[in-house]
Amino acid sequence: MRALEAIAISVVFIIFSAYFHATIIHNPPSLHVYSVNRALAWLLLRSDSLPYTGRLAEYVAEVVPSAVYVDNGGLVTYFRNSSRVYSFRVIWLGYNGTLSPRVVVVGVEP
Amino acid sequence: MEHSPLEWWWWALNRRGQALLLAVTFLASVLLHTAGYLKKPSPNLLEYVGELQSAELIHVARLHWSNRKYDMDSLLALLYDLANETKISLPSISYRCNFTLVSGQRGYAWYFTLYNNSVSFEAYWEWKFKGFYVKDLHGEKLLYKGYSLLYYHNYTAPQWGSIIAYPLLEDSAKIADIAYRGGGMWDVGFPARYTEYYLVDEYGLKVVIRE
Repeated sequence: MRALEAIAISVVFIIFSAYFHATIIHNPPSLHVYSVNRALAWLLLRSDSLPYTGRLAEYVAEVVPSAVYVDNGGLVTYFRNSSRVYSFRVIWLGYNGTLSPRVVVVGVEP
Repeated sequence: MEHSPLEWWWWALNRRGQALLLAVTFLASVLLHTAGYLKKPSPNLLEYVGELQSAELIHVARLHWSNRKYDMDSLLALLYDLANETKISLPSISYRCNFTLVSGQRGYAWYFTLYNNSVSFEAYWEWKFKGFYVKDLHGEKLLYKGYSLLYYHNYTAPQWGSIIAYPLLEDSAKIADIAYRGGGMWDVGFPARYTEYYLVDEYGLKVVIRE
């Protein structure tokens, strides 16, 4: 009977742990994820040449007010200090028929 | 002697200590129920695939049409390689591309790419011959043909529906007269000896007027 009790308690504990992990640890993205995603998509649609012009940081600050930094292929521009930053990545492959891949990382405060 | 599962369960419930089992089950139920109240009900997503991913696909299609030396497969392979390196989640997709041109004094054309996730890129233009005019170029008189031209891009994705953009047009040869009237409408004139004339938009896409 002890074995049966142990198994039953273990099963209940596993179900509880799994449910608790799913509800607490895997939180859905907060609202800023959607808004930043949308803003960066707009920048990508608006211009193919933005990361190559030197004006990317200016436009990012304009459309993402909570931006902490922009890393444009290694060239980092800081807007403010923050202890908690989520990073979003955007890929520009090139512009005007020229292939020149560039990965841009935008750090955003939640 | 064989026992049915119900008999086994009844036997277990009648043994000492099984009240503890019931108590633990009850406690776990209460804890699970309480945990459900710890957060507001909302759909759970482990990874958000949204506007940015659709914009990346449109960016690829636009780059392909700006220089068809880069085929879609190689551009998508490059995008996916970079996405994997940088932990960007992109959906698996297929696509089809189409270029259509109907020439004439009134003509139209488009570049079109449709992905199987309902994301699409379209560059559309149509022109209409308006008449001839004479242009004075440093004392030399040249006969020009004048056209009205409508040009726009249509970016479609499930996340935003349809976005119409009116890209700028340029004449790299600096021969044509180009004037923007608004709403994607342009007045274009070029020497009458040409049967077709190429303009380039700000993304490098070639826009041809062909009779």
